[in-house]
Amino acid sequence: MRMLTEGAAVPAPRPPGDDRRPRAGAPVRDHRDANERRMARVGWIYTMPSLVVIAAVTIFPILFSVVLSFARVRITYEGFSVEALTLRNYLALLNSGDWYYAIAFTVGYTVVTVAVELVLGTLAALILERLAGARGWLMALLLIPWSMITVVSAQLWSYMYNSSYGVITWVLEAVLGLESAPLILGRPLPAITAMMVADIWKTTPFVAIIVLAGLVMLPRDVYEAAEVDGASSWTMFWRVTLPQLRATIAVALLFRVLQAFGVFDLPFVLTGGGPGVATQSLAVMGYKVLFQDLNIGPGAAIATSTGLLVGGACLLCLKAFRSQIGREELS
Amino acid sequence: MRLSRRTLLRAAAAMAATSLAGCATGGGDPLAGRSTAVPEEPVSIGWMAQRLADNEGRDLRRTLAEAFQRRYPTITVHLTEVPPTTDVRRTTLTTQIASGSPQPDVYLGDCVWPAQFAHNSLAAPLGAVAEHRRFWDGFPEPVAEAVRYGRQAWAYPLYVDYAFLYYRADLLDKHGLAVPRTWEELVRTALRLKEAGDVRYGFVWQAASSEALTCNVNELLADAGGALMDAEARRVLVRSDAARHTLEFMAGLVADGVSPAAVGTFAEEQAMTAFSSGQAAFLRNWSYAWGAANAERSAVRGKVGATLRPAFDGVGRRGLATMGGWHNFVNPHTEQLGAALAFARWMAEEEAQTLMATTSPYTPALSSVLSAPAVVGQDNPTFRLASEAELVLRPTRSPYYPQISKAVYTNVNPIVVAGGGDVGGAVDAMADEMTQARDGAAL
Repeated sequence: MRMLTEGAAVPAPRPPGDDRRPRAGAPVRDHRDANERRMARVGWIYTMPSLVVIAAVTIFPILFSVVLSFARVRITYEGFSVEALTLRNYLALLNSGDWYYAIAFTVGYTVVTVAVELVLGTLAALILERLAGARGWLMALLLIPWSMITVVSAQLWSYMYNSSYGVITWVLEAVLGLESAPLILGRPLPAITAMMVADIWKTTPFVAIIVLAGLVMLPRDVYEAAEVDGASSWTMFWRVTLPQLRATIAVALLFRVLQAFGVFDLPFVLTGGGPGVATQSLAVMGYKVLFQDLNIGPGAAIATSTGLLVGGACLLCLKAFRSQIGREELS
Repeated sequence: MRLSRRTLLRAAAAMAATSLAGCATGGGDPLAGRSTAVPEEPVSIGWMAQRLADNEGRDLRRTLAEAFQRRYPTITVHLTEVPPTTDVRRTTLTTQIASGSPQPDVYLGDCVWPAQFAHNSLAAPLGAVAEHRRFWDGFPEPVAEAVRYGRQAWAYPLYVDYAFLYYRADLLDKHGLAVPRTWEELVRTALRLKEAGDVRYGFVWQAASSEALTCNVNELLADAGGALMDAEARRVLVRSDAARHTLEFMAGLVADGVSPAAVGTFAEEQAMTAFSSGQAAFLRNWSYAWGAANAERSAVRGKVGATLRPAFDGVGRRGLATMGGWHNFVNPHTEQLGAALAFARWMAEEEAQTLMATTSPYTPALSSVLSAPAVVGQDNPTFRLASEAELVLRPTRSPYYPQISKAVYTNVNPIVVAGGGDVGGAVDAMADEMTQARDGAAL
């Protein structure tokens, strides 16, 4: 959007030394502006069909959902019926312990998983970069978890965590010598941990691949200079590699934060949001309120509030991302 | 650019407002002025139902549809694909029907859905129950009650699920033990079999934080002489000694080692697996468990008995069972109302019910069919047991039943998992949250 604006609105640069133009060339510029306007009109006409489609499938539903979040809604035989406009849906959210918990859970889950994934992913990328022949094979292997559909991998994890026949349960019980089979998905803290493990297993490769792409692009000469200066490999990592990787890591961070904030499929399949509401993310809560309880207004309010939170997180990340890029350009 | 964006947003807002105004009329009887007669010219209808296997492993849905088509040659029934779980099925039906889709014309729905679906205009009313007394008197009272919301009926029953107690007959014989008739007896017997090393678990049931736990609480509470709510689902009755006793009993099962703490993660499937792999002496489950326990791949095939659920010593009768089962609902937007009504109703009548009861493991809803000698006398004992059991309804008369149920299972589950805790506090919290849910104020 921004690029388009800049491209369309900024006038073409004048040829250097052509300072007579403003006086003598005024009619020419008018003609040019008219031409540009005409082109813009044609552009609008050509893009109109796709803009209408975009409006119909994205902007309209989003606005409709925002309107529903401020409404007392019922499903009638004629469709959704708005009985009154109200703030009660949001008041219900503010009075709901589950909502606060879902926010806390979603934020906590995002912070922990993304942090661990960034560290592990960067480590994996550093190792991969040093490998010569085996890199291709290892990358292919690493990508298997990432390429697996979450619904499938979540189901597999749920078998492994199962409290009567799960292999992880068995390992914990037999190898570690626990007295009775641990209830991994039956208690809040172990269930949250188990879910984070499943997420980290799946998405660390994604971070690793992005960071690796950044690593191989780093200029060699900086390292050579550092070596000449007598820097240890530890110093080189902190002072040379990491600062140059900032922009790359920021991209990985942005993607992961957005994905983690909207997490739905993993808790939906692995725990159903339980036990109780222990692993109920905002998205799962929104789904349950909307589609199981058929509580349209509050469900829309959860969706809208989630959208705002994700939007806020996204803006924060973008801001961090921009300043990183700025620093890159300066250095 | 900025101006254009604003214009676009304005246009979208106007579209949203217009569509809201358009759908703000609402209400009314969807069947008013529409013909409910069976059409004379050929028509076809869609039926959304999960696969129902008969005794030979064939698809009962097809058997029923074919028998119906022989009776009503002008109507063709097509089976519609169905999502795998009950909740996803509800989501699909909700989005499809609320948006006005005429398909599926008839759908098989959970017996806890009528109030919620009626309240949200997702089912067609099938006439006042009182005006069709003769038809509804043919069903056990709880079955007929469960499909009513307001004065109207909203679904035709297909099959009813009963909860029973399944046990390892071979192990009881080996130790010369009797089939338990009370919960106290069950605890003693289960511990004895466990201590003898014959099984890993004494008694498995369902306490996962889900609807399955509400079913267990509902019937155990009835065993103890209590109830979650009154018959109309208006008054919350759970704040009682009976409820505290029930929760203490459930927690005690885990604390005393009769049941593993893992029951806190068990829904029907996990409990069934534990039993049919030979790990458990007793199992609480629905009628289908007889077939599953005696299936070819079951480790306990031919070693299993089924009986009525026990009672608490000195309180009430044996054989109380939470009512489960599936009913046929009619889509209010169907374009083949006459045919859809005829099909849904035919499946609740004697011909279809007898066909189902004599060729498949599903317990018929119709009393006359359930008590017929040809049905009760089958190898499968669940038919005979069903005719002796007494159904206990969940408070499904409330359109907010999912939230009410959530208030039950989220408060009871931690008590079971921990094998104890603040039982009084849990009962109070459950009562408060149920009240909030009943008022439609819970999220």
